[in-house]
Formats: sequence, C-alpha cells, structure tokens
Amino acid sequence: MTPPLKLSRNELAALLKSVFQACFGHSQDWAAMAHSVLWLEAHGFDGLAILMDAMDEEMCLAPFAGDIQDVSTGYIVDFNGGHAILAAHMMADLAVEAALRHGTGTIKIMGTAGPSTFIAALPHCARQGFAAQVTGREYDAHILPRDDYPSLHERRSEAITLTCAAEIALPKGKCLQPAEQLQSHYQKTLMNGLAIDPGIYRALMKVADRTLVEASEASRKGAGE
Amino acid sequence: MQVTQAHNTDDLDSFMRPAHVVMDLNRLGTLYPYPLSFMRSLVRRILREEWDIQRAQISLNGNGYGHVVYEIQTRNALFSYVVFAKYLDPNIRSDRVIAEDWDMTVTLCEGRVDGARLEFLRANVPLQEKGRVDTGCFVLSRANKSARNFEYVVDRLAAGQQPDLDVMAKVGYLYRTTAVYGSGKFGMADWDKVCQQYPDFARPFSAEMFSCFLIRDFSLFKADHVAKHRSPETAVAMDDNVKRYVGIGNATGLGMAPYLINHPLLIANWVEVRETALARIKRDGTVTKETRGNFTCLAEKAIQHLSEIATDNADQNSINAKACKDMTACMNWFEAQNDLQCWTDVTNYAEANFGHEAQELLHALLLELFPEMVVDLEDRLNAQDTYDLVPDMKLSCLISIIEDRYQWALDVDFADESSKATFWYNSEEKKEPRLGKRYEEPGAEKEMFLGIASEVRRAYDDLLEFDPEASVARFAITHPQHRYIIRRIQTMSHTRYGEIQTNVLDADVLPIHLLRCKLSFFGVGKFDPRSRLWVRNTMFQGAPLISDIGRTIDDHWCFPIKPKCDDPAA
Repeated sequence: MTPPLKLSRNELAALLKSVFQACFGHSQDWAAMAHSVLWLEAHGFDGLAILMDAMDEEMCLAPFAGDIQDVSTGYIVDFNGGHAILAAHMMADLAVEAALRHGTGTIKIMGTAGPSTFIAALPHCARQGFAAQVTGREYDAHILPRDDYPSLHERRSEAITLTCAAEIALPKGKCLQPAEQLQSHYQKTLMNGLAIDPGIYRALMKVADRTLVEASEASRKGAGE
Repeated sequence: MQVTQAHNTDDLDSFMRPAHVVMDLNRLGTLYPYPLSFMRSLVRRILREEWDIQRAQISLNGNGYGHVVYEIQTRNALFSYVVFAKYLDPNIRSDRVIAEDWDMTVTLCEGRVDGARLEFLRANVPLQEKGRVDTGCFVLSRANKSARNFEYVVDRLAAGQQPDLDVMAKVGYLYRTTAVYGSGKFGMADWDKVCQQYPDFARPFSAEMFSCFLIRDFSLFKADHVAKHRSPETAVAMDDNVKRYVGIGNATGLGMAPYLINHPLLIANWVEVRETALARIKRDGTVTKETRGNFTCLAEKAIQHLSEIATDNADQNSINAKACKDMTACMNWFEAQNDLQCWTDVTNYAEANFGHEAQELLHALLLELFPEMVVDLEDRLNAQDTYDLVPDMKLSCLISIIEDRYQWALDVDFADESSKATFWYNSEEKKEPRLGKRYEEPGAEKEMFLGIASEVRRAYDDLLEFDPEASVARFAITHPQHRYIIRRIQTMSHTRYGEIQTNVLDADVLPIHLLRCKLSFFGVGKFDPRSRLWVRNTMFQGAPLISDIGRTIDDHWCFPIKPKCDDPAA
C-alpha cells in the first residue's frame, strides 16, 4: 500500500483553488469552496473523499443549481440532487442573513447527499458572532459564537437543518466529539501536515493542471526573457 | 535624541496621506526600504536578543563543495540551517525560476539535525521544487554564484590582498538567490505553524529573510575557505569591513507580483504601518540642530548610495540620477531654511517641487531619522488575511461602498480593448506566473483571477440591475461569480488604504512597480531592472555580520555606501 503523501494546508488550499478554477473558471467563489473542503479535511471529515464523490467521470463538478424559498424564519433550499460540498459557504451566508433579520435563521435543506458537509458552514457563522447548529442524519454539530471548533452530538433528526442565532442550546444528544477533540485533530494536521491518498492527489493535480497554459516562445517572453 | 510633541494636540489622522495618493501603483513602485522593512526588523531582533549562530558542522572540500550545518540558538528554540554546495556547470547556471540546478541549496528547520535527518535533507533539498521536505522545515531556497565576482574575490584573498572596493561596488554580492520558498510550499510548515511554534520568526517573511542572511554568511565563509585552500601560504581572510559591504544578490520576477494582489489586507496593513510611522514623524518630529545635522548626513549618504548603483538599465539610471538631483536641490533648499518648525515643511516642499521618487526617498530618510517613533510598530505588521461576506448588507449599501472606495476601478474604461490587453496565467513551466497578450496569444481562458478593477466593474454593473433592497446573500447565491469580489470589497472597505489602485490587465501595466513595492517592504535596495518583468537587487548590503552579534546593536546600515579603499572601516 502506498504511504500517504503529506501536504501542508497551504499546498492543499492552492491545489483545491486550482481544481475549482479548472472546473468553474471565474464563475464561482472557488476560494470559499476550497476553504470548505480544506476545513473538512483538516478537521477529520474526509473533505477530499467527499469532493471526489462529487466529481463526475470526467472529473468535472456541477455548480449549485438549487431552488431557494424564502420562509418566515429563513429559507428552504432544495439542492435538486446536487452535491452540497460546493455550497456550504452560501448556506452560511443565508443562515447569517436570516438570523440578522429574524433573530434565529433556519435553513431547511432538501435534495442533497453528503449532509455532513454542512458542518463546514458552522465556522462561517461563528466568525460572524453567531452560534450555529446543523442537524442531520449522521450527527448534530454545534458551534459557539466566535469559536473555531464545533462539537458533535448524537443525531436528533433525519432532516438537515442549519440554524444560526445569537444563542443556541447545546444539542441534547450524547456528545460524540467535544470541540477540543476537533481542535486537537486540527493541531495535529497543522504540526505534521495532512496525510493525503496519493491517488486522490494525482487525480486532483490532473484537474488542476487544466489551468496551466502550454509553454511557448511567447510564454517565455511573458516571463521577461 | 530629544523628541518633543510639536503638534501633540493634533490627531495623527490629519497627518496620514490619503489612499488615492499612497496606493497609486506608480508611487508604490518608488518606495525605499525603511526601518520596519523585514530584514531590518530581523537584524534588530538578532542583535538585540543576541542569537547564537554557529557553523556546527563543516564538511567542505577545498573548492567549497559539501555541506555546512548552522545551529541557531534563539531565546526560544534551537534551529538548524543546512547548506548543500556543489559544483555547477557554468553553462547551466541560470537565475530563471525554471532552472533545475544551483550552486547552493538550503533549508531552515527546527531542532538539531542528526545523521538520518541530514541524509533526508540531502536527498530532497538540492532538488528544490522536485523534492519533498516536511513540516520540520520552514524555508527552502537556493542561490547561484556571481561567478566573476566570486572568483575575483577568491583570487585576491588567495594572493593576500583584499578585494578592490571599486570592483565590489559594481556587483555588491558573491551569491544571489533565485527563489526563497516558505509558507507550506513543498511540504514545509504552514505559516500558522510558524506563528504558533516559532515566535522568533512570527513576523512577515522573517524566516525567509533569515535564510538570505545566512546565504550571505555562507558566501563570505566560502570565499575565505576556498582562498585558504587555494593558497595556504599567502591567503588572508576578508576584512570584516569589506564583508559588511558584501550583500546577497537576488533576482525577483513575476512570481512575486500576484502575491500583492491576492493579499490586499496584508498589503494595506503594511502600507498603513509605514504611513503611520511617517505621520508620527510629521506630527512629533522636531527640527533641532541635531536632527538637522543627522538629516543632512543621511541625505548625503543616500545620494552617494544611489550614485554608486551600477546598472545597465537606462531607465533606472535616469531614475537614480533624477532622485540624486532632486534630493540635492531639496537639501540646498533645506540648508537655506533657518526657521523650519516641522518636517512637514520639508515634505510639502518636496511634494510641490519634485517627483514621486525624490518624495519617497525623503520619506525614507525621515523614517530613519526618528527610529524611536517607528520601531514599536513592527509588531503590527501581521494581519489576519480573512475576507468574510457580510450577508445581510443591502445592495444599495454595497453600491455606495464601491462608488466611494473603488472609484479608481470604475474610472477604467473597459470598453477600450487596451484596458484588458494583458492577461496573467500560470505556465506549465514550473507553474510560474506569466503575462500574455490577450488578443494575440492563447490561454486567456485560463487567466488568473487578478483583474480586480475589472471584477469590481462587472459586479457593480450587475448590482445596479438587482433590487437595491435585497441582501448580499441573496444576490451572491444567484450571482456566485461575484461572491469573492463582494466579500473582498466589504472587507477592504474597513481598511484605511484599501487596494492597490491599478488595473493590472492594462496593456501598459508595469509589474516592476509591484515587485519594487514588495521588495521595499522586504528591505531590498539597489534595484537593477532587467526588463519590466524582473529585477535584480541586493539584500543585506551593509548589514552586521554574525560575528558582530553581541558587539553591536547598530541599526544604521541603510543606504550602504562604498567604504574608502584606504580605510575599510570607513
């Protein structure tokens, strides 16, 4: 078995940005997408495996193309079968906006696989001064305002809901992972690098290389020769 | 130096220059190093904290090929700096980033290097981009000999003579770096780890500057070493005063330019710190007999420094000559003013009579004149580089922000093809940035996201078509192509100086200004542009040596000038 490749966070972030640029050109906020995947990977949520799952056979990605319905406490978002990993940041935007309008912002999410990816939305909300919680089929995750790390609790609901408010009580389910455990995982990856499957790395590099322009006499002149 | 509060009732804000003046790229491209430049800040720390820097392992043959391991004991930790030096065929020696072999390669790493670690580094460091290191390393770099200068110096030392300073003045270094990598490249430690774990290097580019400082030391050590082996009977060591005049060369190309566009919060912060220092001096710096005398000496030194720069770039020669002429005129005016009350009188005179180059030279001199008003700012140079969307902001508010803070971008006529004639892209050759001509060369569809002015205009036009009462979150979800630029605009609107005000897609863009701006913050001098896209320069010329640690805390090595030939100590 090939040993994992160790990448720094900066390397993985740069690689992911190039992957998303290759897939979307300048039509998406690929820095935010890269940040979400990196966050999941660096905190033990297999961001790269989820990303690979979202890619089609041609190693392409489909952008968010869901429907959004404005309701009294926030929004209902139907992903129409699309993958959630590229939209966690946008769900955080809507949750924070709804929280500011209504006191509590609730995003009910339908029609998507990979609900755990919404956990990447929590730090976005926390940075804006809100507590946030995502309930889902795997577990409930909760973050305190201004905190960097969520805690995980036994699931309470089949439906996926992202909630954002000034205060949210801790989930009642048994704590599966305290915030300190995620912090510890993150610190380990920061100190020692991220262990990446070489096969996934090579596949992503291949996609990222689509952003490179072939070398030519003109390109060498473009470096100042 | 006595300092009184000449204008202590005035708010510092009124002495800060406006963004449209400071962030104009043509002005940023005339900045000079100053006391908070990163290499100056680093050297102050090394001297103040008396870092113990030793060559712990020396394994070099008579030609200076082999390895050297430096050990650096700071107040907080032990670090190792590992140098691999080898013979390089002169025919393949190249400063270009696409080179694949170098005279020396180095890494800075945590802790002590044992045998196994050394072999791991030996297997990877010389490969540079093609190797992999680990998170125990936090700088990877390489350098090439200035073959002519190095051989000249070794010949002289071997013959028992010091190098001729007129010859040294023409080049100013024995080795030049061609790339200095940090921040997690090639498996190294991320910046966040450096900040957390290595407080000695937790200022911007501190570790990278330290690497260059030790490349300089190695180049001097190697010259002595080779001369001694070449002629044991007659060789002399290079005089320390000559050594101090030897810097480390550097070749910087387009790779550095996107950094300034991609990290606007950091750059705005660096600029604000510099402008704050200048504003303090304008407000509080007194004009006394002592400060007048110091200013005159500094100005004379700076003029001599500029006149000693040897470059075959005609434009740079005229820029230097004009700066000397203007500064001389400024000094003549200054000497005739007996009743100056504050330094603002001098800066106002310069603004009214001279170009950007002389104005910024004057500002650099003033910043040197009052270090006690400046150095406490060096801990403010870090910035959290985060650009969060403010999702509840109404679009009408966002539009107002753009009109207020990005008018410079809206002023660009993007209907004119020349305003988008340049595109920036990564070439498959080492994935390095290049410039292309949009209407003549292939690859524009793969361009990098650097056209900030153009993106602001595109977002602004779409915003005007949307409900002004709608929230940014709703707009961004239907216009995801604008989400990044919107959060950037929102974030930068909270800074004093905002973005570098230039359209980098313009046909006539001058990346050399971006390079000089960043290099000035590094502390680099003696700019020698080789084209509009890359520049040679000199680092650490005039700086103390590692043998000076514990003997001096002198911080007056700016604008290095040639020591007098008959008195190397001058």
